[in-house]
Amino acid sequence: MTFSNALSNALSGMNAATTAVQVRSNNIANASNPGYARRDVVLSTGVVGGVRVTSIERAGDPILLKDRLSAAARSAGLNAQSEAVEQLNQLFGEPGDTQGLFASLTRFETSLDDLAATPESGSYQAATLRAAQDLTNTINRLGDAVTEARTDADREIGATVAAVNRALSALEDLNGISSRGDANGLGDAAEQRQAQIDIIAQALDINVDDAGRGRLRITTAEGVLLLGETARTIEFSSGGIVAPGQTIGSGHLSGLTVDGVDITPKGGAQAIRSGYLAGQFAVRDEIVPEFSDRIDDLSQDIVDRFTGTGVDGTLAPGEEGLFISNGTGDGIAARISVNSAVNPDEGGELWRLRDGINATIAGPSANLGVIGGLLAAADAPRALSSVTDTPAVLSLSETTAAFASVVGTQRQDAVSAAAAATSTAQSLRDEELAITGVNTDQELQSLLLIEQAYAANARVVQVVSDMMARLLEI
Amino acid sequence: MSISSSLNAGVMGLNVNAARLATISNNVANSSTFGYKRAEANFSSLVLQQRRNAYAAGGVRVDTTRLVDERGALISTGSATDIGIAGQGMMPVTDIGGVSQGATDRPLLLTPTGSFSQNEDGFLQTPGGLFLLGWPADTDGDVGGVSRRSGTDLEPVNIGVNQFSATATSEIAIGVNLPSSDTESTGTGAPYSMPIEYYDNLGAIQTITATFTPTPATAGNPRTNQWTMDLVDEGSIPATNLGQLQITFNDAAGIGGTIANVTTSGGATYDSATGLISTTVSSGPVTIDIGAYGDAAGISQLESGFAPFNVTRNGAPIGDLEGVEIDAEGRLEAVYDTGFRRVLYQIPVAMVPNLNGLSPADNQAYTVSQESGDFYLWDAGSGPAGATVGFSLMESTTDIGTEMTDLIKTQRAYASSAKIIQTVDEMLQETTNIIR
Repeated sequence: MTFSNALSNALSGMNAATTAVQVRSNNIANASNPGYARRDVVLSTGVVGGVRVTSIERAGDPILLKDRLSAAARSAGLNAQSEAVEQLNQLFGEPGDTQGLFASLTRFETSLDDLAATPESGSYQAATLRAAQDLTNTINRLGDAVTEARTDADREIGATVAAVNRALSALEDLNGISSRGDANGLGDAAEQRQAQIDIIAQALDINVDDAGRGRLRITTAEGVLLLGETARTIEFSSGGIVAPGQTIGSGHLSGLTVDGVDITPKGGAQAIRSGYLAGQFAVRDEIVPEFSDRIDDLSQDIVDRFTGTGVDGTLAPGEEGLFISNGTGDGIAARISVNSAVNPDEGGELWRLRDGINATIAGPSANLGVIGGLLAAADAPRALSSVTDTPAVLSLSETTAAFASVVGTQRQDAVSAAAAATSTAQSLRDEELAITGVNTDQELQSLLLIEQAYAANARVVQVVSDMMARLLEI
Repeated sequence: MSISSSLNAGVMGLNVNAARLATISNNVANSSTFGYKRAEANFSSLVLQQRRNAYAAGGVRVDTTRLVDERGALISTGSATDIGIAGQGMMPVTDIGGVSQGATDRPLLLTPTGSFSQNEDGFLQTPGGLFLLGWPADTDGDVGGVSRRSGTDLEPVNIGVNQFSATATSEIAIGVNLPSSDTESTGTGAPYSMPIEYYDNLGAIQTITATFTPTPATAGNPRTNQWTMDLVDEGSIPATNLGQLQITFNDAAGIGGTIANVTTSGGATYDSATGLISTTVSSGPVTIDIGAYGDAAGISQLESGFAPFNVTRNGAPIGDLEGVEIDAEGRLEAVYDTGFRRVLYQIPVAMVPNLNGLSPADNQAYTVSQESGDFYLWDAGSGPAGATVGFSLMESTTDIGTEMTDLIKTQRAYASSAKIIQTVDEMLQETTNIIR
């Protein structure tokens, strides 16, 4: 009894030491793997003497994890918004740019001034036409970029929803695996699961609860079940090209639903509030449409300035002049063009710039004609219709500058909000890494202890063997 | 005549030591047999009628006993169905013939440990041919009223027939917080939906949808704390309305946020003492625990977001068998790939009044004998019975050190007895030599 007990105790000690060395070696091997969480061996006394490896624990802090996921979602959402705002801001440009809207506008005003000084010059007339065309082209490009930005956001939402659905169904498969007795606790099921959770948590703010039996239950922060016994699917249909004026309300665009519950951001009571999806929805349905409204307003302002008899005597009251809007409604920025009456390529005449859009014959070449009216129209203070946060009465270039300043401020706000959220997310990530990460020094120190323990147990075996040998010698 | 009694005693000494040598050799041979209990040879002296002027050597007698009550150390193994008993008692097993026999005819054997594995028919069997017996459990894991004085309720443990298993849900408990601000006059009255999953009779996952609709206060009035809870069973086709509950919450000190009053309509019933909603879904009757009056668990209404923090249910979805495991109370559980565990059998631990009286059979098994007394089947870990331990086997109780020292003693004793015979022989020779 005593000999064999001593041997079996020593054996259990050596087994525990080899398990510990396996765990430590796995830790050290994964020291630079960012998704890996440290494993620790938990020992307890055996049922009938000796030592037993109770479990291999994965380091982690569930509360910190929840905070980290929430911060990551917030940061992903705000960063998506800030990127969009930044992109729009870049397209819009700033006063003093050599290209873009401001440069085109300046060139147009300069060319009008030049033409006013020498109204008889054909080349100045041509230059004015080119400047006007350049201006409308620049605005058209802005209008197209707006459509593209919304289309991109819509496509991005579709791709993210698909990724989330894939992750949810992967988690459904992974669910329950840990209850089946992960033999050595070193399998990567936990890591795989965390990787999928991270994908979902980027997209939207979630709560991850332990439903027992090694299963996870995932709800959105607003309480909509995403993963119970089975994975739910987030429903979304990508709308293709998103034209100006199309909204969820107009039936052109899709929101998000789960099990028939509307979770579209800014939608019903259980709408998602944070995360990459919320960010892209804000881009698609708020930030870009608002920007679109601004440039539509600006385009409308440009058209309106040159409309009517006050500017050009040949025009009927309310008739569009140098610039025409080609229809009404949203998306004027994409449609605005120069009146074909002044474009020789489209059957027009350059001298109509001087003599009026509807002039039938060219007037005296030194006549100032309507050029003075055009100049005055560009400088005339006008009130803008819809956009509220722009100062009320401004000239064309002032209006544009005011727009730029609003867009710039918006960009500043978005960038600083995103930066703050990113740094919060990063600091939580660092904090988590401090808990779950592998400290190689610590691992090596515990390896020393394990080595000693193994040697001591081996010595016990040696002693028992010597005692037996001594006995057999008698 | 005393000299012949000495010769006789010497021969008896040889015999008994030979018997002890046999026990030692058997013990040493089985020193690494799992579950082996060592045998011991006990000597006792025989006394012939004594007179003061003469002494007759009575000699020695041997009794061999097997020390079944000695416990070997449990060593850990890699198989979940290697079962050892930590403490007193033995597991009921039967032989190959007993598997096909009825309970009354089946030979009942007892063994302290066994390395069981599934055979081709699904029975748990040791390599030596012992079949594990246990009480079959119902879907709730109960074995019911079983006979503990006989093996009539025991059955050979068979895992094969339970490859797939499912259990319908009968009890659900939910925990959810409803945002109190939604019942203020500023509330929109928008409903919150919460799916509650349950398992039907075929192991499929079905859903009851609970919809919580706040009743906002009219302008200028304090919040109503009133919610309407609608339950719809999506598992039935078409979806069935299970009824409606009007829940009013407390906002008084100490009990804020707990249920104050519930009125039901449309077929739902609610017990304010237990907090259970009784209803019937597609698979049968189900109770849903939403918390009793004044109970902080279950449904609450606090100034926070809508948060379904807990849904628990009994039952199990359909799953493939991943393996079996035994717990300390002898419950043999099937582990399914869905993460569920279900008790299939309960393995009792048999105790007899005199363990050492059990008569040994092959493969470290024992049968009940006259000397051992009748057995009683305990739940493992209760009363005097030891706990069942999976992933472990009981080592042989043989200790080589003890056996070796006994061997030396036996050798010395045997040699001494031989010396007595030789001496008697020489003395008789002397006597014979007198007449020459």
